[in-house]
Amino acid sequence: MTLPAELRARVLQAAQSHPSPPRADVRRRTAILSLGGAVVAVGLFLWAGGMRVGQRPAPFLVGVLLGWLVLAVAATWMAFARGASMLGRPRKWLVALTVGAPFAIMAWSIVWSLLYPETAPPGPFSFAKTCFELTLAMGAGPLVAFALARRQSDPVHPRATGAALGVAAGAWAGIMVDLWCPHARPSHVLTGHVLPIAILSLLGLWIGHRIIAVRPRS
Amino acid sequence: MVTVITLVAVARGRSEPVAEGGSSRSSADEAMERYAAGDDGAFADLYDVLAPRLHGYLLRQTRDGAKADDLLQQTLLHIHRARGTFIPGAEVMPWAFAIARRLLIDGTRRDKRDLLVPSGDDPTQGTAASQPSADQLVEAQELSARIQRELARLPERQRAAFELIKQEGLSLAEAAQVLGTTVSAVKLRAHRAYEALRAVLGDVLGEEGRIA
Repeated sequence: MTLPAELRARVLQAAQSHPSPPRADVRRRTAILSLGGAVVAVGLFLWAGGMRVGQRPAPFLVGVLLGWLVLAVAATWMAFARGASMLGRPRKWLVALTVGAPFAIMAWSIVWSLLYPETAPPGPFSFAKTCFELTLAMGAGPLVAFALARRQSDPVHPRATGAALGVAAGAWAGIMVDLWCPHARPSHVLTGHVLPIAILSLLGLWIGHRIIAVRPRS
Repeated sequence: MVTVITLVAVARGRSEPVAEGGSSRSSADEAMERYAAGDDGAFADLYDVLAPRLHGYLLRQTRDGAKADDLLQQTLLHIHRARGTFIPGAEVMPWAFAIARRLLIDGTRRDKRDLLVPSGDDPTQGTAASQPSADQLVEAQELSARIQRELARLPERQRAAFELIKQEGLSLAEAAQVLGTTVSAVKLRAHRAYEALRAVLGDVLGEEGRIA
C-alpha cells in the first residue's frame, strides 16, 4: 500500500519543526532528575536529624536495612528500568511487586524483631505519625523524579507501572526512615514504614494514569 | 480486498501471518537505533518502514482514511518525541503498535463513536495487484462486511489478539508486548477468536471461496 507523499511530508515536517532530544540528552536529564529526587529525600533525612541507632544491635540494623535495600533495588529495576522492551515488564510482575512488597517487607521486619525481641518491647498499638509523614515526604521526591523521567512512556499498563514506581520510591524512603527511626515494634513498622509504601503506590497509580500514560497531543 | 483475502486465508486455516512488511523488523530497529543515537535523517527511513504497516492497522480499525492519517501522524510524532528513551536492542514494532493502539483507544473514547462498525466501503480496496470485476468487488465487499461484523462481535481481547497476529503480522511475543500480557494468553485469545470466526464463517467460505 502506498501512502500519500503529502502525509509523509507533513509528518517529517512536524518532526523537524519540533526537535526531540537524542538518547545522550535524555540520559543526562534522567540522571539529573534521579539526583534531584535523591537530594530531596536525603535532605529531608538530614533535616530530621540523620541516622539514629538507638538500642538496635548492629546485626539487626544491617539485616533490616538489607531487606529494604533489596526491595528498593528490585522495585527500581522492575518498574523504572524497562528491561529489553520499550513496553516494560509484564503487568503481572508489576502487580505482584505492588501487592507483594508491603507484605514482604513487613514479614522481613517481623522476622528480625523475633530474632532480636529486645528491639520490639510489647506495648499498645499506636499509629507512628511522624514516621508515616516522613516516609511519605521522603518518598515523594523519588516518585516525582521517576514520574517525570517516565513521562508519556507507557502505552500498555501505565497504572501498573506508576504503582510499582510508588513502591520503589517508598522503598528508598523506607531505607532512610529505618536509619532514622530506632523503633522496631511491628505496629510501629506497619503504620509508620510500610503503610506509606501502599499509599505511595496508590499515588503512583494516579500518576501512572495522568503522567506516565501515552496520550494524544492536541 | 487485502482484508478479505487475509481473513479468508486465515479462516481457511492458514496459520502464518499475511501482513505486508513482515521482514521489515530489523530495518525498523536499525533505523530507530540510528535515530535514538542522534541521526536526524533516520526518521525518514523509520517512517518508510513503519508507516505502511501502522496505517494499514489504523485504517482497518477506524475505517476512516482521514482519522487513520491523523493517528499515524500522532503515533510517529510520539515515537519522534520519545526517541531518546529508546532502549538499545529493543524492538520498535511492538512499541509502535502499542502506541498506535493506545492513541486509537483514546481517540475512540473521545469521539464516543464505535469505530468498528463496518461501512459499505472497504478503504483498503484497490491495493490488490489485480483488478477484480464489479461482481467480484460487490461479493468481496459483502464478505468483508460480514467478516468485520463477526470480528466486531468477538470480545475485545480476542479481537485485538487476532488482529495483531493474523492481520498485522506481529509475532506472538510482539503481540503479547503490545497487549501487555503473556505469550500463552495471546495465543489462547487468538485461537479462540480464530475458532469463533471459523465456526461462523465456515459456510461462507465454502460458497465464496473463489474470492480468495
